[in-house]
Amino acid sequence: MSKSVDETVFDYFSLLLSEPEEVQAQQAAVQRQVNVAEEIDTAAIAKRHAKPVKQEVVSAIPQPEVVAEKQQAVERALALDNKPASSNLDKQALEKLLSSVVPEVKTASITTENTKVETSADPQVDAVPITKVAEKIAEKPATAIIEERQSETEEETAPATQASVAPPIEPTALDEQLDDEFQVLFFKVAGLTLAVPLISLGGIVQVEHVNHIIGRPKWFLGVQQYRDSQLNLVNTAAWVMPEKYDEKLAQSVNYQYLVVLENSNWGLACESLINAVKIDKSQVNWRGKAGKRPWLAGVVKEQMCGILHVQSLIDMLNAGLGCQDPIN
Amino acid sequence: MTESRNVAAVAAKDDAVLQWVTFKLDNETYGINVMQVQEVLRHTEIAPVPGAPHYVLGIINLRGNVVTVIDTRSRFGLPSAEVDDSTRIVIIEAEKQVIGILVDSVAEVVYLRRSEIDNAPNVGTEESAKFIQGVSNRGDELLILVDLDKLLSDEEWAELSQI
Repeated sequence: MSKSVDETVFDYFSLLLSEPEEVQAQQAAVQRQVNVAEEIDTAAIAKRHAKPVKQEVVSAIPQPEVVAEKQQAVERALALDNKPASSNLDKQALEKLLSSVVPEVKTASITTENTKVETSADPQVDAVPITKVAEKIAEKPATAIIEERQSETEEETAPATQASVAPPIEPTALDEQLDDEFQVLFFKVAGLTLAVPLISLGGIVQVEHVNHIIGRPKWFLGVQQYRDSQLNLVNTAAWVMPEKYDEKLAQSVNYQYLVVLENSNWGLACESLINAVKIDKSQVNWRGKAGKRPWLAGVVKEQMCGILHVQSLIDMLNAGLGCQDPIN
Repeated sequence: MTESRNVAAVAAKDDAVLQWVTFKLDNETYGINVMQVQEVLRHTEIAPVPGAPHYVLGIINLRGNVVTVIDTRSRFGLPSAEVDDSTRIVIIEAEKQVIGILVDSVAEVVYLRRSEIDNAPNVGTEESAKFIQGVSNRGDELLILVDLDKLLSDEEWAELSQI
């Protein structure tokens, strides 16, 4: 695993967990509150209002030690990626998923995973601290505060010229739709692992002949024929992390499979399929509100990867919205 | 019996067969309505026009008539390519003007039923997105159908008539 990929993954999850621009906006809001309090010229009242809020904001800003913990966690997680992801690897589910893909690909993919299992020393040893660190990070008040205040902050930061074409997206919380224990498929794009619940998976298709259509955004890879219709291919790296998607990354990404979203005609291009695993709801740090990223249902603590809210993602793609486009 | 025949006739009328001239650009196949194509020429010398818009390659003399040639690759947002033996200039009529479009090669004339044409993915924001009127699967390849009237904006068509 190259350093740049580590950095990419780390930066991405730092962004997911801390939402820096919202923190800045909160800081500004708090500063305004503090100024108003000072103007009232009642020191006691100012103290009562300003101090706790300041503390909240301070805790909301990633502290150096927390950042270090996150980095360690991500580095360990990346190290784990070359070992079995977890002991509850569900081979049968993965085989079922890959049944629609050509046999030789299925063999290659599973062989790789098996090889990883054989070469691993002891996955449990490393897995425990990661879970602990991930939970520790998840339990930080910063995340909670950010989630609670997200809608309020968005009102302040949302530009006046929000895209009128964007439909209102009010997704049902994914955790309400899922059983306590559910299966997810992990897949990888440009060093980034993402998870999709199997109930939201329409299928897996091998990337073959992609037709490029002019005038489409960078994240639109093209179309590919699939069962007598066209499948719209999403350049997942460009969609999920547009800020990182430069010429160098574009050259290095080698898409192999398409993760078809439910019964839509959208497929997320990915480089590799990792495995299908049964996880418990409690293993996911669920996002309370859709916020700016309705496509992200939460973060799987152990794997430290985002879990997709497929219906919201489909809505965004149908509306032609990129990851960072404003949503009404 | 007569009623079902009428229904079938109406359906057949709605599902009219259209002919499309196909050409290649950057390894993708595009189709244009055959009724708008006047002729296809081998590449000939294109005289540049000083001060012409960036999408104009220049002009050619077509049997005594001056025809403006559009840089189709540039218009489609594709990188430029060297002219070779298969390069063609397709003379078309659109918006009551006769112009030439430079393409990598011309392939064939295909017949498509209206029902075989699907909408193009509606995610484009760039100007070039609006002149794709549909797509159609033909065997292993996808045919991208171009609306020539929308190749240029009203202002650009007016500008072109002044050259």
